[in-house]
Amino acid sequence: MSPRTKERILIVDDDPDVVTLVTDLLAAQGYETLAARDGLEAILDGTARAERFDLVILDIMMPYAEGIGVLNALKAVRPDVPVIMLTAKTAPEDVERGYAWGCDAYVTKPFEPAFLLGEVERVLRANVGA
Amino acid sequence: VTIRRRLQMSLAAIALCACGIALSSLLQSRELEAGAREVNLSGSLRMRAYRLAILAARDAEDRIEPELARYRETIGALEGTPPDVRAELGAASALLPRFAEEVHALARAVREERNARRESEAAFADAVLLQEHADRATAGLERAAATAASRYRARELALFLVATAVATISVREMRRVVLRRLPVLEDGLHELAHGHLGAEVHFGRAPEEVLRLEAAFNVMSRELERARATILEHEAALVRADRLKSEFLANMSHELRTPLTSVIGFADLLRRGIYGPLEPRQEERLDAILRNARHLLGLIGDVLDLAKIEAGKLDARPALVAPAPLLAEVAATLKPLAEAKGLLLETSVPDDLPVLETDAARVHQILLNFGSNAVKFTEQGTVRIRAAREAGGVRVEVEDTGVGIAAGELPRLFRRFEQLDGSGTRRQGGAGLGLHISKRLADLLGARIEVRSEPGRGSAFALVIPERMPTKEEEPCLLERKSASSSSTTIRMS
Repeated sequence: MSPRTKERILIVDDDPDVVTLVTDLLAAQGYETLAARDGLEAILDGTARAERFDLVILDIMMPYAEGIGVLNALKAVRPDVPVIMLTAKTAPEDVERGYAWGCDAYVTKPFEPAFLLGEVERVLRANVGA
Repeated sequence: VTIRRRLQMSLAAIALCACGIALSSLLQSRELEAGAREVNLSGSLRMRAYRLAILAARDAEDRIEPELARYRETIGALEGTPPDVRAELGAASALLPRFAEEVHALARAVREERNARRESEAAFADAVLLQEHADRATAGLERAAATAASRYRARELALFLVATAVATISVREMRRVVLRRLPVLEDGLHELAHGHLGAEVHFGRAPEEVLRLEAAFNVMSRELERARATILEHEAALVRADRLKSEFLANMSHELRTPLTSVIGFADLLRRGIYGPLEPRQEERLDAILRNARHLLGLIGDVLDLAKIEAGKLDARPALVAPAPLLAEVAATLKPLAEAKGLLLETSVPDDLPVLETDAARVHQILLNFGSNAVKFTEQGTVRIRAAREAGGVRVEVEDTGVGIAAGELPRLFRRFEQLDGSGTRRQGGAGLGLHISKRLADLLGARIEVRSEPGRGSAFALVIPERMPTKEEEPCLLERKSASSSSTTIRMS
């Protein structure tokens, strides 16, 4: 659990507990985190500090702006930034739609912390490789 | 005027004519009878006149008197005859006294032995006159009878023509009033038949019966329209309710998972020591929280799956699936569970398995259910996952060395909420939904589940997956699937 790379990860979720949870999990692995509590904040904050994060962990169902709106806004300023969907929407059609929107990984809530960490590493590695 | 009234009037007119004809015939026959009698009497008058002439010629005085008396009687019987006949009869009556005188004169002359020639000639001439009168009277009577007969014929013909005319007119009226309106009614019915409910017919001015028909048709049409509107409304309500149910299921899934995210997540982070070192007792308790929370998550998944199945909302999404990686994934998920109980997990997957067109997630779900059951009900030994090619598909069997299932218990295996208490072991965790859901999912995939078991020795659950999943059209409807659910499960005992 030694601090390693200093990749910054933007966490967008309207559930503050989930934000804390993911932040704690990622911080323990040495990642830096930014948080947005709803879609609008994510769009405003995220686009304003677009150069300052390397990965987005994004919820789908949020007030003010749904995940897809946030995804499009962020992709507009940072087309290359990888996105992991983290959502309680688990139906097969939801997963398909997530990938259709262009997410790099789709993790369903409740998630196994180890699994989420695995996906974060995989996506970041793939992005560096590309 | 109503059709009924018109028909009544027509029938009455025809009946009246028929009565007229019958009455006329009756009268005619009676008059003809009387006429015939008169003609007969008149004929006998002629005959008597003829005999009088002969008697006069033979000078049979004593026989002439009674003959004259009968002649008079006959004339008397013919009273009330036509005027020309009466005139002839009157003339004959007038002549009779002279004739009688002449006959008596002739008789006297003969008695006195005089030349009776002159008297004889006078009497004969008057007898001939009498006969002529009788002839003319007879002819008059015959003429009168013929006139009467032709008059009757004309009257009957007239009545017959009137009756025929009335019948013809009433038939034409019926056609005008009823038949000509049938196409209007037919058009209205065509409108209805083509779904234009609420279409109306209008006959304009028409008899009461036709107007009642018009009103009844229009009421029926409006009622049909209203009924259809009601049905469409209900249909829309059903569609809405169905959509709400789907949305509710989706939302429930989301809403129930969200809080568990924090419960499991934070418990896991705590357990990992991210927030500081833990004492062994704290670790144990956190493990309990995690175990129960994950169990709850499993139950939520099962209940929602069942709700979706019951609502007919569960569908399969076929894609090309290579069996080997899928089985490796199932084994990888089961491995930690098996190891935690000290069980051996063996997999045997040959290289020649065909690629399947099926729903990988559903197959995964079923096999994981078999596997976790195997681990759950086995205290020591081995759990084996064995795949093999089978006619038309692939057979995957999950075999254990666990408690096994008694033969009598097998039929209950796939029922909802049923969990078997195998040979006195304590009740295991779970809502008893897993196998029921697996069965329903297998039906969805066109797959078959086979079970064999021996109490105390172990059980084997096999999923036989067809190479190609049946499409929606080929798939029997949900109700049929329900009734067929036991037949498609082959239960074999070793």
